[in-house]
Amino acid sequence: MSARSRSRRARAAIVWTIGWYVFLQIAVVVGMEVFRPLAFDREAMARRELLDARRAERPGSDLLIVVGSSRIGLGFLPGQLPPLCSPEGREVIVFNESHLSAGPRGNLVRVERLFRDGVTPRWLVLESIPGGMTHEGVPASQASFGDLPALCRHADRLKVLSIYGRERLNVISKHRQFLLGEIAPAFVTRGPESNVVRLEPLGDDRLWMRRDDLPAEKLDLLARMAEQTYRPRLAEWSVDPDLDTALRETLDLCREKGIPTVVVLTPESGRFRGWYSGETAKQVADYYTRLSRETGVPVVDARDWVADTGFNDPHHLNTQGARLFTARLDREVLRPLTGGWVVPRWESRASSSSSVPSSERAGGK
Amino acid sequence: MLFCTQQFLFFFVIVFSAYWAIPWVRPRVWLLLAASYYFYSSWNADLARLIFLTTVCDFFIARGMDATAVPWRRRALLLLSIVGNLSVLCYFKYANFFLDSLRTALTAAGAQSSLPVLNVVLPIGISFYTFEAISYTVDVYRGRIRAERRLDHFLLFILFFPHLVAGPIVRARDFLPQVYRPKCLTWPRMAVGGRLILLGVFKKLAIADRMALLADPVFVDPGRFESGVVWLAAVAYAIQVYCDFSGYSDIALGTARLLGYRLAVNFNLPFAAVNMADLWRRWHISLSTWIRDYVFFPLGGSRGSEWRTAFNLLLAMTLCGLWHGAAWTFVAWGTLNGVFLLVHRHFAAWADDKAALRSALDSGPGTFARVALTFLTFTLGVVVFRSPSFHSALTFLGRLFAPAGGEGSPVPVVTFWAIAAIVAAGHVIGSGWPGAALANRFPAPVRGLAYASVLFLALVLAPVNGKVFVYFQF
Repeated sequence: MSARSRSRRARAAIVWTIGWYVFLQIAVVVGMEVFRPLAFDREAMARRELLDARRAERPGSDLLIVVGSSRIGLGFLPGQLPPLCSPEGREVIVFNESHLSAGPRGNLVRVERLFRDGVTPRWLVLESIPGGMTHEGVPASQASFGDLPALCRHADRLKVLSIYGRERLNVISKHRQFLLGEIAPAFVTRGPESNVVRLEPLGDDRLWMRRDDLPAEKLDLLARMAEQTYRPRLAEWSVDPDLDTALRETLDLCREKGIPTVVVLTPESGRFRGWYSGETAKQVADYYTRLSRETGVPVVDARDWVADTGFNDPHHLNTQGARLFTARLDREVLRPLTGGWVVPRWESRASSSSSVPSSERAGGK
Repeated sequence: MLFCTQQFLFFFVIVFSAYWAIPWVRPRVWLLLAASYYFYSSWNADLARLIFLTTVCDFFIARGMDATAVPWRRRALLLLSIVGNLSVLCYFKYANFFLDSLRTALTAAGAQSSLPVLNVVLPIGISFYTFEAISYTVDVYRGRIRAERRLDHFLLFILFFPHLVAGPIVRARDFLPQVYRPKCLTWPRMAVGGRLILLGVFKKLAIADRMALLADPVFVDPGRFESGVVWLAAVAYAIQVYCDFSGYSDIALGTARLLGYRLAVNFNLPFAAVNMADLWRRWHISLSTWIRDYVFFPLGGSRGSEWRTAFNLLLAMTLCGLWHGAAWTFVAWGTLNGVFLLVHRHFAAWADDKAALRSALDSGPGTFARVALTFLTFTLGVVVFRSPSFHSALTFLGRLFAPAGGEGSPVPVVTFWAIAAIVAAGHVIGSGWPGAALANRFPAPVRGLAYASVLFLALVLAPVNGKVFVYFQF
């Protein structure tokens, strides 16, 4: 074989190898986007599998979904709730649809996914964190193609698309556990414990994100991290317009679907609440008062519902705190909401002079 | 910086692009030197400086040797180089081992000991570049090569990043002439280099790391598992250590080839070996030939009496074991392999004039039996190699030969058989299966699909918890 022929054959082999590999990448991306879009988001997929299983176990029951961040993931324990029934006497499945680091954008994506996949809850409780209204990362790394429009509407489009594209460059390696699970389950390997999404049957965290028995230095580190993140935001608070519109869009979506919704400000420790400046406290009260008035959605301020002993770090509940929060949320929000009663709405120390009435019918409908 | 990581991929793409963008030879050498220094510094900058320093010393010692014809001066300079290199190696790698052994011996003798424990960091790949430096000065002393006149070339010989941390152990007479040789990037070179890298990545991620999932838990506590699983773990480790190390070597050869350098082949289908001598000709070839040339032959090789030959062989293999690590299990593994080689040597001499026996051994079934026996012998040897202590090794071997119940396999057994079948198929194909030649004639789209599938499988089969290369510790 001549040198020229050898060179031509080698070049052809290289070009075809690259071409085939790119094709395989694209095939995997398209296959996942079309058949299992949730696979890009392991946590969401784990919760969806649980939700589907619960709904399959109890066909005909009504669904109440609580959407939020890790605060909800750790702090809301649906398994602890006494049985809940709709006014028609049907059983109600209460499901924890939280997601690590979710803010208004993340919550919107989760709610849109539910609707897109034909999961329409009868009621919805939506978490809002005042400190999370000033800033939220762009959750595009776990997004599927269907999530892009919502993210692009409420974040820098270029950033969303670049993160989305970057995640697809290494899709085979990154999602290999999912691919193996689909084609050769025996080869699936467990990663480090911290990497395994472990959830209770109703979606709440099962010693995955956080444990109760963390050593003091770890708790101290978490507290410092929370302080570094939230203290500056709460000292000078201003709502990011993109996040405000994302939150409102989520509420609008629910209203369009006729889903009674309640917004809940989740518990924060005394130390955490101390980071709100006087001005911020007033601004927060004004913002949620206005939000409630303009959208007709009750806003429940649960920030001071749990004593400091109920916290792991300044804004994540431990198991004892989670039990207290869950019981009170059940009493003051879930039962009134599902029973069609009155949900106590925004009533804050800083907005006592507000002209908004202290209660309104759930969902404002 | 590990070979099979994105970090290395970015590093190599930058180095590769810059290297071929530079049209001049010397700046290319400097670029490779800078890249190699950065590569090692990414682990430990202090140790990178140490290697740099010892390499410069060896360069000037060899120049000194070359400049004088006075025998005692040459011998003194050689001794200086060997002692210097071995001192660094002993301090970093063996000091605590010797102190610990001495402490144990003193305690056993009833004496009080207050020997210190040295707080030293083991420089990655120290055994590899120490042997390269020693072989260079010895070859200069013997007059086989002239001392390199360019410091940058000599530094590149030792520090060249593809072989720096886990070999192969490169000889100066093979490497240094390549530095001078003009190079150009060609498609065949890229194809060969790329294929080697692909093969290495597959061996490491899809085979070695997979086998570790079975072998690691069993070697930690062999007494917990049933005998069948312990057998699988022993075989799994034999496959793991082969694919881990030969995978690294393949990637090293591939990256070097993409930069215009050829490194010595380090593995040649060792599990197709028909006896232990054959296996050591195929396993870690650069080390076994080094031991042969710089230990076994200088001791007298096999020219003396049978006893002397046996002594030379055992000593060389014991040193080979010690080279692998500072633990008595490594020493025992080396000695054990020396014994295996001696047994083979005597058996071969005894069978030499027995035509019927030779004919039976050379037949198809006979060859298969010899290959299987060699693999089994090697596998039993690596049990000692892998075990953290003699007690653990004995427990492991006890489980192998005294059937006992216990826990089942830590991973689905089907994964073991699937991977083992791939390794066996690779050996069959590599050992001259006619289909292999045919595969080269396949059209480019088919070959491209095969290579892309290998890469796809390597990435998909890589376990979540990847492991560092086994031979980095040496």
